[in-house]
Amino acid sequence: MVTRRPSIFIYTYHADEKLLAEVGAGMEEEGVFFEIFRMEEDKNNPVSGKCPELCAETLARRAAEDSMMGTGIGMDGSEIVLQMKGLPGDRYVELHKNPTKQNCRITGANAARIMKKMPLRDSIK
Amino acid sequence: MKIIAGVDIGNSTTEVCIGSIDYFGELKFLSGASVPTTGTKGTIANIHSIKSALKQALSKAGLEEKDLTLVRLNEAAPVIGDTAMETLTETIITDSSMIGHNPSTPAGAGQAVGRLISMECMKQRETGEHYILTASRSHTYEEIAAAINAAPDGIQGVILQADEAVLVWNRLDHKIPIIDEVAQIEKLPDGELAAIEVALAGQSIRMLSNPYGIATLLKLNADQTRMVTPIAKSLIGKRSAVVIRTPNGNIRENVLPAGEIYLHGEKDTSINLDEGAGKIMAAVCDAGKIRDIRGQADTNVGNMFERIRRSMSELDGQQAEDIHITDILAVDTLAPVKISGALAGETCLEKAVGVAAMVRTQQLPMQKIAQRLHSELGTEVVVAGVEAVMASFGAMTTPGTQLPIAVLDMGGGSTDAAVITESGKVIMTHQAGAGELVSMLIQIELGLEDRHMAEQIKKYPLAKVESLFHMRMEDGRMNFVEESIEPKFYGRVVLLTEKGMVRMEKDIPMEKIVQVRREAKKKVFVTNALRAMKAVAPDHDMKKIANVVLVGGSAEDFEIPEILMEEFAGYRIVCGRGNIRSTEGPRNAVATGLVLSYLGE
Repeated sequence: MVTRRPSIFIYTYHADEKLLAEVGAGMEEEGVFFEIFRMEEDKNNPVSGKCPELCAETLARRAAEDSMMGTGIGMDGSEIVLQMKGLPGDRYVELHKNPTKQNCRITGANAARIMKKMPLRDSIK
Repeated sequence: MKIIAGVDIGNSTTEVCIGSIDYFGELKFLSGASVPTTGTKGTIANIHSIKSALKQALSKAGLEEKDLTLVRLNEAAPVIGDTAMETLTETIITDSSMIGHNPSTPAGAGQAVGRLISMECMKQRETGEHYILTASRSHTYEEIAAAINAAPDGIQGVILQADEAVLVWNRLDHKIPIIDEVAQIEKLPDGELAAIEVALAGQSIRMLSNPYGIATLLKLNADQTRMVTPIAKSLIGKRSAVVIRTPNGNIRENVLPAGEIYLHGEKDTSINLDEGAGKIMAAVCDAGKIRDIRGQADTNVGNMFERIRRSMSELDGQQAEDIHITDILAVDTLAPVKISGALAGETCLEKAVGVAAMVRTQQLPMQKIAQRLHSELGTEVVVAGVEAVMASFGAMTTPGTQLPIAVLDMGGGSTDAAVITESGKVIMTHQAGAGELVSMLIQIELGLEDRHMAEQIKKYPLAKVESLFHMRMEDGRMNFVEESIEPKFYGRVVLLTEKGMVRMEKDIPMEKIVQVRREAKKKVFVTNALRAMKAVAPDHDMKKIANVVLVGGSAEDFEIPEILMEEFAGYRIVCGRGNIRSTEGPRNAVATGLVLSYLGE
């Protein structure tokens, strides 16, 4: 039985809160649930104990594995990665080192669109 | 030993066949090659592709250019084709405005009516009046929601430029319908009466796609309702819409008559374009051998034939008046027509007729090409044989064929057919309409921007990428892949080409594309195949043909041969894709025929 809401997981480490809000807005507009886990706050967080280097890519991969929807986002400071469970080690759906607000909104929307099995939007360069 | 090369210059490819004849007169095929044709068919620019095709074929056989004894060129059929499309009625609406689109995430549901008011003018509202708020991208969703929550009186609905309808709606105290992704929001006139509608989840709009619905919301009289009908029609199936009432109701309807087609043949007849493709083709058949086809001046069809004549005269170098259209193929289609007053470029589908026309040209200057090739290669070069006859000889090398044999050569511009009877008599015909008309129909009916995409849709099967590891093919099968598919293809309809996937930019369901593609091929090739076969069959009786061999570029298509096989099965005709020299498939028939025919000389 499913006891948790099917949601996208966002694992963050000292994330830029303004950009994080944009990611959330992207998902909210698409009408999809998401949960944010701030690794720096939670001593019993699912990642910190196992993985000392909290880079965005690792966070995203863990988030994708832990989410029952297989979709996760990792944020380290302003760096953001969108990941899907099952993608091989060196690949990811999206990676932005220094994203704009618009990049983050689209990344959030695309995370939701993966769940909704809809075509992804192209990032504006 | 003699080495003979047959060279066939086609509209799209140049084909070469190499054969050797020993001292006993025994012919052996050595190799073949196919390269894209350089320049327009029948011009000196073709030399380049001829030489590279010869080189390729010779090296396959372990030979060099100096080993060649003779090069035989085809006498290309002197016909060129063109395509055009015209809607039957042209409806022009002025000064009325509407927006109908499918934003992926509008919010709220239902209708709202009110005067348009922008965020900047919020303060100037009058009490008791109803309003629709418009907000450009420069306002954040938080600002908009806060502004509405602070002073909600009179605001009935919202139109947003950004994709933020759900974000605003979630923050509203009083829920109202919101439409978003209206790119050209600055075109919405402040102060005018407008109606908006957002459909319930999984449904399309009901009020604004109904003339009486618009009349109810905007309080229109009977005359105004009649004029708003095209707007309602174009909004059918949309998830959200805006209709704005214009100040003077100044709507003008201008219908250009479809017009008559005049056929000058053994029997002079005329037929109205309005009658549709079926009746037009019956009239073409009735007219017998056609000398020229013209359209009534100042009508849709007149303009269409004028366009064809002009583009043909550019290609041929003759005066437009001297161009004689000797055959047309008309097909029914639906074409999107731009509605003036549509703020986001909306279109509505109108009945239309697509036409492929064929024009006889002067003899192509093949002799010049032969001379040039001779001086460059130092080999004897001759122009030999009529294309259709050569194609028939080539087609005879397909295993399992016998006389009387019919050859259906389906190219890009024209469909050609020839029959060789047991006595060796050859009857042939050239008909307008082939691959290019199919591409045009696909482009129009799917509303694609460019012809290239339509050509790719014609050529390749479709699939929908459902996850990064599997896709659903157009026939319903699932295909799983080892290597994960790139995320840019996720959720999209893609074409499976030999160079990998090509994604469809436009969001059209896969089933719809498949249906349009198959129908376009049927409309063109089934009609033309039956027409051509009746023209060349002994006593015009198709049952007197035993074999039909399909050759030419369109015979390589992944579904056209099957579509025709089904059609011909009813006439007890063995019909199939040719397999020239048991190895070449439907290509190379003419080149092979050119080598073969050397023996007979």
